[in-house]
Amino acid sequence: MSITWFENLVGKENVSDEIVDREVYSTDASQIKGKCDKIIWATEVKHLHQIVLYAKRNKLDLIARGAGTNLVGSCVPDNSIVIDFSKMNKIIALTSNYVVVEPGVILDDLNSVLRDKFFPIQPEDSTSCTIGGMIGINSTGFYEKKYGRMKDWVLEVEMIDGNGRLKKYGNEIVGKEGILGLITSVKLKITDKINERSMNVLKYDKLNDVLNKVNELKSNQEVIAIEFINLDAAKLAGLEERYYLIVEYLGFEGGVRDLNEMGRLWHIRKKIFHKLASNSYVYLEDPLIPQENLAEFLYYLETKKIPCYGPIGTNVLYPCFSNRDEIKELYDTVLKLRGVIGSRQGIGLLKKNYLNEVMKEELRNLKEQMDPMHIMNKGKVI
Amino acid sequence: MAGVDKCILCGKCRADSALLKVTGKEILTARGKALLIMKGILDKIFYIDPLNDITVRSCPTNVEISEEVRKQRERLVENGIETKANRRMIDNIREFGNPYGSLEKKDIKEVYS
Repeated sequence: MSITWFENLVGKENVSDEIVDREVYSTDASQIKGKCDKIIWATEVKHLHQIVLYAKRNKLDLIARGAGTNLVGSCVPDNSIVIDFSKMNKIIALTSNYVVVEPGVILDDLNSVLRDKFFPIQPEDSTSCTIGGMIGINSTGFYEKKYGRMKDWVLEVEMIDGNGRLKKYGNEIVGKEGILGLITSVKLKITDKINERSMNVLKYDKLNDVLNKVNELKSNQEVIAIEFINLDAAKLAGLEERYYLIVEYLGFEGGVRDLNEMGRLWHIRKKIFHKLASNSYVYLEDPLIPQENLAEFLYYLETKKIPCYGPIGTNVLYPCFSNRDEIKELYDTVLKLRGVIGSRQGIGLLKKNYLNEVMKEELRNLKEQMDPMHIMNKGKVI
Repeated sequence: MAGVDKCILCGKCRADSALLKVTGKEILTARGKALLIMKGILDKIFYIDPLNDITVRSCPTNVEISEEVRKQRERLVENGIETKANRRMIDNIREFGNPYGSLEKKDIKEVYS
């Protein structure tokens, strides 16, 4: 496929089929290796529209890419054209209730311009993740207990579907991992920044005590975040070898009220993955476990010496592994406990076999309507 | 500090790249450079990124990418692969003691790092 057509459309500086670029865009944070045919840096909606129509005519696969921080291979190409949205990073409109942004806007950059407002979905990688990517996996964050997930904050998504139709949708498009179309702009709700808040860091020696406390905290409406660190993760992170609960409150119920100190505590939590990764625990899973089986799951992790942390307040945990071969046993355990595999980081390539048939069928139907030629993110999710 | 074999491709280093914000090019991130090094690709791209732009601040596995890039530049020079600007900078340092050349002209058009 000639590059000339694309160069004429978007300019030479916004397209490449050079080996160095193709190599760099052949993978993402999943570490799965694919094959990238060429890269286009998106700058204008009218170009994207032409590209989709061209791809449809020529049966070419298109993959939207934000920061490429996806852990399940959602951005891994298969002889595909990767469309990098990093340059589509403008804030189009800002009011007191909502903001309209291009999909390449980085979350921290968005929050830095909102002044007394904020966008409350706060994932760990807020310094690099993009709004488009967050929509792709229906992202979540530390404050899910109070604010929910990305879907709860999306008012409108403008997208070019696989038929080449530029249309506005509601939040039903959230969480589809780029298999229906290319997002061109997003209208998001925003809310008031929380000024009165506080934290507690609680330490325990017995898992039962942790679980009792979590149950108590879950029913407290002032609690907005409950994060857990298990013994093995604490040890690897260089912390005292105990169980930890990091709790944030609306208002001043917590003992830590100084914002700098709170920032320091969250920093320790955010660095847990760094500490585990530097000890070779680089593969992170994200199972959702039903409340009644949470204790059994935590004891399983303990027995297997699997380091784990995460938003226990939403029944989600992040067990980490140094070897992918060890993960199969975790999946079997999660399914046995009627849990959900891939609850927060998406399905992509890695977890396709674990998506339930009802959801797959629903996605297949949507795909047939919106991308019947299968030119959007071929082979992912379904 | 670790070598590129420890890079887990997480992309957290994107937050450290000022050039990425301007150009949108993944190749200018530490992850991009690490991928090329892992693949053994020698390319002039290693001359483009100023070393002080790529740090280990956000790297979970502490990959010291600037040191790895420096090694690649050595290999590039050993293999006779260099940019005109780099050659000119070296010549200027040798002749004038600074990367810009004769300061008497006061018409510096290129800035090196």
